[in-house]
Amino acid sequence: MAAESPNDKVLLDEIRKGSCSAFASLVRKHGRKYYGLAYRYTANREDAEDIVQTAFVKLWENPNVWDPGKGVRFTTWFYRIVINLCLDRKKKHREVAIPESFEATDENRSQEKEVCENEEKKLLAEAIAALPSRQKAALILCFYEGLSHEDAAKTMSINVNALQSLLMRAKTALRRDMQRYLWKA
Amino acid sequence: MMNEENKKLEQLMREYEVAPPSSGFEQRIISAVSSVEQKQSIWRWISEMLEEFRLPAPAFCLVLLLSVGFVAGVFTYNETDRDSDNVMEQLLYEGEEYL
Repeated sequence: MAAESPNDKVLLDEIRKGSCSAFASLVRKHGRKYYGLAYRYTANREDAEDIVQTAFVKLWENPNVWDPGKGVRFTTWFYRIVINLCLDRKKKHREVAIPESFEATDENRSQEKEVCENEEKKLLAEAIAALPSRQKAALILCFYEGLSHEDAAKTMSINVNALQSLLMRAKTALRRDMQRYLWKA
Repeated sequence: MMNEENKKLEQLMREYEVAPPSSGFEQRIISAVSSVEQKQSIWRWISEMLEEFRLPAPAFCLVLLLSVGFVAGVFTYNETDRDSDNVMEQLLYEGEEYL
């Protein structure tokens, strides 16, 4: 997980008083991290940006919803907000997006190896995007965001055993989908 | 074999890069809230109001003591009244009545 700054609480206190500059600092500090999370979830830049923007606007509207007294760090709590928005979006848009960064391009890529690697990455991104919502959330939080199992379980409001089960199923599904490439080379 | 597969899979997963956000991504979020009003919870509003009228310590102690005295007076009023009746009865001779 990214290093937790003690300033988050101070910034949130300022935001509660209506400070736009504190809000701007918080967005600059954490915006890209949560964008990364939303991007991996949605596999779409615009959707990811919209989700992060919605999450921050919700925070601005009602900064009192995060209560530091409950012992949950701001970053962990905000992961939950973003993940829930991703899950909501998933319910609205059932189709699986093909990740932008791995779409076929017309660039001159003559080397066969590079083409194969790109194909691998594209397939992996598609396989991740096609995972069931909660498996995907567990995988992204633990593998890409580096959350501990305890923090990820807290973020998803499940127990650690359930999280580990989701992770195992996600990896099994990915291994199955990518088998052809894993056995190659 | 499974271990090797896992390693390869993890390596592939690590190579899954995030496309960078569009330019001005953060600024757009910051601008978005300029027209959004913050919701105030009623408890927060009350606590802010109380903070506005915060008393200095001696004045607070005085008000507190007066309040405690007032409350104690209200709750002990009947008791005191009954006691004074008993005292009057003790001062009378047997069979004597109030004038």
